[in-house]
Amino acid sequence: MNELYPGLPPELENDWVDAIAAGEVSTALAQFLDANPAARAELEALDEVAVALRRDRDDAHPGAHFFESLSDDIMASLPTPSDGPAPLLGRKVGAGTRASSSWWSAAWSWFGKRPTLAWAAVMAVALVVILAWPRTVDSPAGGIAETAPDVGEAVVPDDDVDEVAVAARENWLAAALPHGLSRDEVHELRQLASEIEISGLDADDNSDDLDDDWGFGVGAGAVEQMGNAELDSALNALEAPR
Amino acid sequence: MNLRATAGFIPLPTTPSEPAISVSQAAQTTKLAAPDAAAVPLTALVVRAQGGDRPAFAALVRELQEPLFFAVNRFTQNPDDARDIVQRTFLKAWTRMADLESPERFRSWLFSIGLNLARNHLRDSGKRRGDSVDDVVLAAQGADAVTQISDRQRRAWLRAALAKLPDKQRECVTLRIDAELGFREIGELAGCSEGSARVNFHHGMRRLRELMAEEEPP
Repeated sequence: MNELYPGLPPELENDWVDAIAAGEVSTALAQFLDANPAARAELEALDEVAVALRRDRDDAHPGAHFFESLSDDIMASLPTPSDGPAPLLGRKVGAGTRASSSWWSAAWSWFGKRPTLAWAAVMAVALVVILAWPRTVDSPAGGIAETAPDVGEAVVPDDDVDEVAVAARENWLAAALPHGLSRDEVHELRQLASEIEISGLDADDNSDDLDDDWGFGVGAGAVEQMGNAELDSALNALEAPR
Repeated sequence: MNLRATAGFIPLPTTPSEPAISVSQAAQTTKLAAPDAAAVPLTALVVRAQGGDRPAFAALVRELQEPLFFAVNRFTQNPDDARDIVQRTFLKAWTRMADLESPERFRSWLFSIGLNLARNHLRDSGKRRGDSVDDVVLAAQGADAVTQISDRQRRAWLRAALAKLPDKQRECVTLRIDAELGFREIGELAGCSEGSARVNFHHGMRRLRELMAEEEPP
């Protein structure tokens, strides 16, 4: 800082600047100025600039009421705890540590400044949730389909599969009996019904194909329309080829 | 000579004195139990404000709004704009108090927010920082005689000269004279050392004096 003024001792440099900034001269600097009139003139000229700047600032003072009103407006504009997270959430919780919620304060601040964008973001998220919700409910595993564990094919125990298959065969065959099918036809229909039931296909959806192939309706409702005696008789008759 | 000689050298504080705010001042704003700010140093108020203490923050507002206003007003040259920027500065400070890791640096941190907002305001509005020295001088010469330049014109001319300073010099001059910040804080704001802040301040003042000597009519 020896560039401040030629011949100014380094130990007086801070005094020199402070004399300009605050208008106070230390004893040491005063002694230097006494011995250097040119330096005193330079310092006085710089001091005049500082005085002019301060006067300009003071003349521009808007008055005490201005600042009273300003501080009131500032405090009124601060978000309250009910408006959102106050600095409490992100305050220091100890020496050198800080709570991890400053991101939330920043997010809330952003929300307050750009409410339109923020609400648009909220609505977009809500829309995604609504669209994804039915899949979540219908997921076989009871969760989100993409994250559901692979449960494999053995959803039902093998014994239960057999029972279902037998019941399906009996129902289909019982429905076919009144149409006087031959033994071979009965076997073929039995095999087809078995495949349909075991593969999990919807029998009703394939009933039209069966109608085309066999020329008669084989809907499961036919079983319900049969009396108990007829059904027993049909089942007894079916026992012979099995 | 305006310089006041002291009997003995008393080092000037690198930072202005701690705030002295009356209890009634804080209570006036918050309607709550205000801190005894006269006995509470600025750093303690900052720590309390970081904990969500609104009366403490109100005391900070009352202490710092005025120097901040003057510093910002140097940039905007418009009291209404400066007022709006000061209000936004404190609002931003309140919402980001958690980001301030050193409470003792609150003052420079607050001013950095305010000056950034002021710069953004000038950039967005496309305004110049002030009239050029030449414009002001021409206006003054047009007012009949150069010897009749009023104080108001001299002030306008001074502001124009200030606007011609390099950014860093102008910041150091403004923050020291208008905001009365210490050179350590000015260095923090300007991104330089305390010594560099002193040098920039001195060069800025000397440049202002040169501009005045060059342009001001006899």
